[in-house]
Amino acid sequence: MLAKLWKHRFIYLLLIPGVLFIIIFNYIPMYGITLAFKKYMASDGILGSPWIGLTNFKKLFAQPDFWRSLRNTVVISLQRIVFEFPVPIILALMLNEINGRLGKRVLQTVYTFPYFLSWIIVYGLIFNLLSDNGFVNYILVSLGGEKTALLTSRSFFRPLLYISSNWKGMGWGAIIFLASITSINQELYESAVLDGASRWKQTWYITLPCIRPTIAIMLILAVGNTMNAGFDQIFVLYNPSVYEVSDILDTYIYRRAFSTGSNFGQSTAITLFKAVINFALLFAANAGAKLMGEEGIY
Amino acid sequence: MSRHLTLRKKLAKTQTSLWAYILIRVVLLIGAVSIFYPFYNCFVISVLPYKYSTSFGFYLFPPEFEFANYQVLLASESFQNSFLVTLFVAVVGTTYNMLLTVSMGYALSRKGYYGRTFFINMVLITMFFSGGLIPTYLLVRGLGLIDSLFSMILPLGIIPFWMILMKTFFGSIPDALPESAQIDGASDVTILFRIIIPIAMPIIATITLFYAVARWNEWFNGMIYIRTADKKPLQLYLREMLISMDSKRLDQSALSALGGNQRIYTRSMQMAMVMLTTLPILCVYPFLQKYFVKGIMIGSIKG
Repeated sequence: MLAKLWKHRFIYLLLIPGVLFIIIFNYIPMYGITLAFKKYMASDGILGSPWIGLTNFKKLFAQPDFWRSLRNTVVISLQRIVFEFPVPIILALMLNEINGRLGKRVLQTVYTFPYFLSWIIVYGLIFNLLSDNGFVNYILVSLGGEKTALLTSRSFFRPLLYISSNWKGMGWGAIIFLASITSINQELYESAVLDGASRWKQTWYITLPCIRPTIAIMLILAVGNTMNAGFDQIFVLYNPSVYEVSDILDTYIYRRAFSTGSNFGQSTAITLFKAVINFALLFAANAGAKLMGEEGIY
Repeated sequence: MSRHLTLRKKLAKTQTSLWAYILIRVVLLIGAVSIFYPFYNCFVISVLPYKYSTSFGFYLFPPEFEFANYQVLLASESFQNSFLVTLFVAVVGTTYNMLLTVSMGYALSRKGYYGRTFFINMVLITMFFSGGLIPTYLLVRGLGLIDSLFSMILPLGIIPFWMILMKTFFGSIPDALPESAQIDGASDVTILFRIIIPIAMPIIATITLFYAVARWNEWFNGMIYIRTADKKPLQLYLREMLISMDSKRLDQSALSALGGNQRIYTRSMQMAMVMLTTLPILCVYPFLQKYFVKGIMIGSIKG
């Protein structure tokens, strides 16, 4: 045994930095979740702070702002599944119809680029287009409408989320589906053509069924992510005048911890609450997919 | 006419209708233009001289070019500071990422030693569970990193997805290669640096770029851990400029050469800043794109 350990000493040596990092920055904070059941005292640290049972949760559930952010989180996530989830699939199917190598490459290059920008940069671009004398207001006015402050408009905020999110992520999202389409056996299409199936029928009866497992996995992961409605994007885009429709659990946690007081116990309680629901949803979605004959993720 | 006929024939071969053929191309083209246009509009605004700023409307082509906004930004100490901060975080941070990712990825790709499954599970668990915002914040504060540049570097060490991609690639190198080197008397260190890493260079380059882009785009840690304005990264400098532009932080001599404060159009300055922050990503993008499709395909094979 010792001889075997010694034989692999180089491997263990290489493992040290990574394992140390993971213990310090992943596992120690995981223990910190106990704060959800404690009253945080700065002088005592996480370990020394007194246990208070479910008080943090009770206080949290008594706040209307918590329920508002929970509702927004669920609604935004579900609407994302409707308005964002199918877009990369459709884009991949359309890109797959482009036969010219150059054209396909150029299109993919353009579509994928925004994925690599931060939401702050994307906010800068949106800010420019939507500003008082920007492009969008110019179009509105020339169509006979009125100038609108779109960034502070409650009814426009959620559409803005879905539009900008698709703008930024659809090209990247399409890659996985394109890869999945590429791996389909070409003979299927050849025999379909011999049988006189139209291109549309080939898509419907060959391509879509063949990429169904990929779609199922992505959908399960999206459902298991319901409690995260996209912190970076919303945090950068929202402002107090649209909190009513935009404040999600993550932005609420952030504000409670860093801008309106520093209630670390309650913020951690929300983190735990989110994680538990996400896991429940992930398992439920996976079980549902299995019932429908899909492979699922485990 | 003959081209049209050949297209018809080509379409007939795959049973595509001409209308679908046209529709798909038109939709994809509109999509591509709508992705490109916001950048173009941003550029136009950033070079628009002050006198055009008050007239309401949009310019497909700017009537005159003026790069004064870029000059003011580049000459401003506040811009230079945050640029240097981001550069430092990107260079040191990416090196730190790669040291951890390559060493651990290689170790986990080797087989037949005690604890391998344990260490792999240790990584996989972190993909699903995390301590979240507050415990991580308290840890970083406990380590005394508040207002230190290392608060933006140390907590982001290994992105499990990239580490597993690295491991999968190392694992796909045939065992015969290191084994024959071992028979020739090469040490473990020689095998890693002379054989394994050179073979893995393309994937190492790709992952390095992905980490570097993530570092360039990072702002959240800077927001919660950094207090001093001069230590804030570029992305936060941009965000602050977009929320409320404070021209006092800009270079006053460059501004007065322009004709003073009243000569700046705020939005032009803001858009110049957006362009400057985007530019480095645009420069590395061709290299990123070359590999990411391949990278994702390797990653999608279960490691």
